[in-house]
Amino acid sequence: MRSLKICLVLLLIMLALIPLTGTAQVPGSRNLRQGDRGDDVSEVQRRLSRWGYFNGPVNGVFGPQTLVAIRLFQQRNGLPVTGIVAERTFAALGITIRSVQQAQVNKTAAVTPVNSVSPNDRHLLARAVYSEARGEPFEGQVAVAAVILNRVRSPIFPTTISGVIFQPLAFTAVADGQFYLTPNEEAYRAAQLAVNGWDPSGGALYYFNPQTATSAWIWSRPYIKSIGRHRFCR
Amino acid sequence: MRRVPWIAVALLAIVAASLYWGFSQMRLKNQFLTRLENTYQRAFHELSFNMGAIDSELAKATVTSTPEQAMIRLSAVWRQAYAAQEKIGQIPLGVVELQSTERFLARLGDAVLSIASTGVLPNEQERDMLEQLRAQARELSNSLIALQASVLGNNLRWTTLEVQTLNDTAPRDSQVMGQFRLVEDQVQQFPEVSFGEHVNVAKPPAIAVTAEPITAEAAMEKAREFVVDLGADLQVISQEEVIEAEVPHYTFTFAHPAGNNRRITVEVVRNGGRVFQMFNERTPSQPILSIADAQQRAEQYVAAKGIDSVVLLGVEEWGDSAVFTFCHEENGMLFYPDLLRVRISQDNGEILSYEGNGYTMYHRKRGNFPEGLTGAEAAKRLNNSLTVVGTSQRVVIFDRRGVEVMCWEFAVQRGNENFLIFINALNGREENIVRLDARPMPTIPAWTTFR
Repeated sequence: MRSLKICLVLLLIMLALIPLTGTAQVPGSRNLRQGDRGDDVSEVQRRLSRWGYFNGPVNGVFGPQTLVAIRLFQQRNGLPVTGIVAERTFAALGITIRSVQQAQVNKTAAVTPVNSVSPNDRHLLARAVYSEARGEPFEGQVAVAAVILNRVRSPIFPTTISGVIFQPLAFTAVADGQFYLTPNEEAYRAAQLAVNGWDPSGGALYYFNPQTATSAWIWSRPYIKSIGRHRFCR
Repeated sequence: MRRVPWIAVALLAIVAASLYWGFSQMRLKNQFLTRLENTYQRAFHELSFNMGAIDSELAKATVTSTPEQAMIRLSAVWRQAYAAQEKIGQIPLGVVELQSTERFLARLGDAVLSIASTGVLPNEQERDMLEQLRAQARELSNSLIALQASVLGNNLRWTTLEVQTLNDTAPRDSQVMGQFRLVEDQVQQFPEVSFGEHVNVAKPPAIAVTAEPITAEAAMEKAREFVVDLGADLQVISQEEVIEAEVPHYTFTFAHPAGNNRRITVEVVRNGGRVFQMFNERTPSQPILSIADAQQRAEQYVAAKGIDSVVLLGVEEWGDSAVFTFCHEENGMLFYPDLLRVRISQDNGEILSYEGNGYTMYHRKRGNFPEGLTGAEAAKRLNNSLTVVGTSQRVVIFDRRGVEVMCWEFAVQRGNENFLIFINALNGREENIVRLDARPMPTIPAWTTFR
């Protein structure tokens, strides 16, 4: 009699634990329907809310709001409106078994040219781009970010992004405080592209605006190309 | 009784107040200048200290008889060389270039770190190299000590020099600047040290430099062909031959058929004629395509460019577009140097940019790689606290010196951290460790689509 009680208690505990065990689900590894919980639900909610289908909280609980969003998503994407997230809906949401594997081991970190670029470094880079090159063609902005990264890689400049940006007399916008303006989205994009390896400057280490440059020395650098108002040099 | 001249009193008060205000402003300004001066002075004097320490630690490294002591001393040299480089970056040198000095420090650091990492006593050849480096470091250190004395003797203020440089009134021939130039000249005249295996001097073989150059007309054809999917027979707005670039190339700018002053820029390598960069930039509107759809577009795009046998390495989602990174694959082996990226907009699936620097520079028919270790043999070299995730595969990466090596790549896990570990498939050496960072991007300003 006593052991039966213990068994019952254990069973209850196990039952209580079931929803918790759902949280470690890998997206795409099971179908999802109302009442399900887990990381995979969060992932679906995240994507739905990013594309404007879902306004509720991303909480990993497949509730009525999520159901409405899924139905709307299926309808708009020409899928059977089942309210259940299965193979085709996963694919339309961009959660394929393949992309799951890649998400687990996203190897771009292994091959990114400047490996240790933290989000805050990107922020610094975007500020430098905005203060130095706003109003320039987009490529010119990417090129300014690329020059900073080229300097980080070069043995003759400081070895960190902040070291390069804050090197005394290196950038006029840092010297005059424009660096502390809030960058726009374009500057972030330019910074991000440069971090991803795009370099429209042709490997430049210097650039200057011929109209405002005061130093005669800068003209002695080997000229690579001009983008917008900037001349890029080695 | 005379009337009090209130106006005169008020004027006096105003004059007194502005005098006081002006004086306190000046005092504040001087305080800040002094603080700035102090950071500059500190960097400069520490630079001299670092150079002295390099000399002294190198000396100790050459007389020790134990590998442990050698390793400690060489590591100290490396640390001091690194610190010295950083200090140079903190001094407002402006008109003076210390490029040779910085390059010297960088190579010195690389070389001693490489010797230290062998874990054994330097052999005769390495000792010779260290002796030569030491002689040069000593010379450099002595010059800096003299310079330091001169800075102290003349009471040189870096802030004054900085202001002069900003206003372009810096005396190019001031005594201290002259001495800095002498230091730089001195380093330029150092005899070449033979670093042997220890420093990467040569860049990896880049076919974009060795292949036959093509003409501007041929390059334009290549460029046109590359953007034909954006519109047939696009109008060329400008073209330029860029010779001084790291990779000499032609740049062509086309008008986008959608108008609105949109431009498409295509860069074609002069030697060999491969397209290595293409920009078709715009801000995408509301995303409609899923990442899976965009991925399909990216794969189709790459295939249409005649680039076959590449595999997707990763996706970076920007919210309205996504960057797909591919590398070359052959017989199940990944070639990380042969890298390319495409960015696809998620509104209409248009290509926004293409970057194939790695693919252009390094992709070629390589010779056969020897069999080497099996995956199981290589796995034995792993730290045994690690759990291997998924299947391991053979890859080609650049080693520290920039030479292509074949490795076994293991995706491993410890705790909740993921790493890629590269074990040399020929000699079992651990060539590289990459931490796969799963930290989410912070939300910078709320309106950016970056995550």
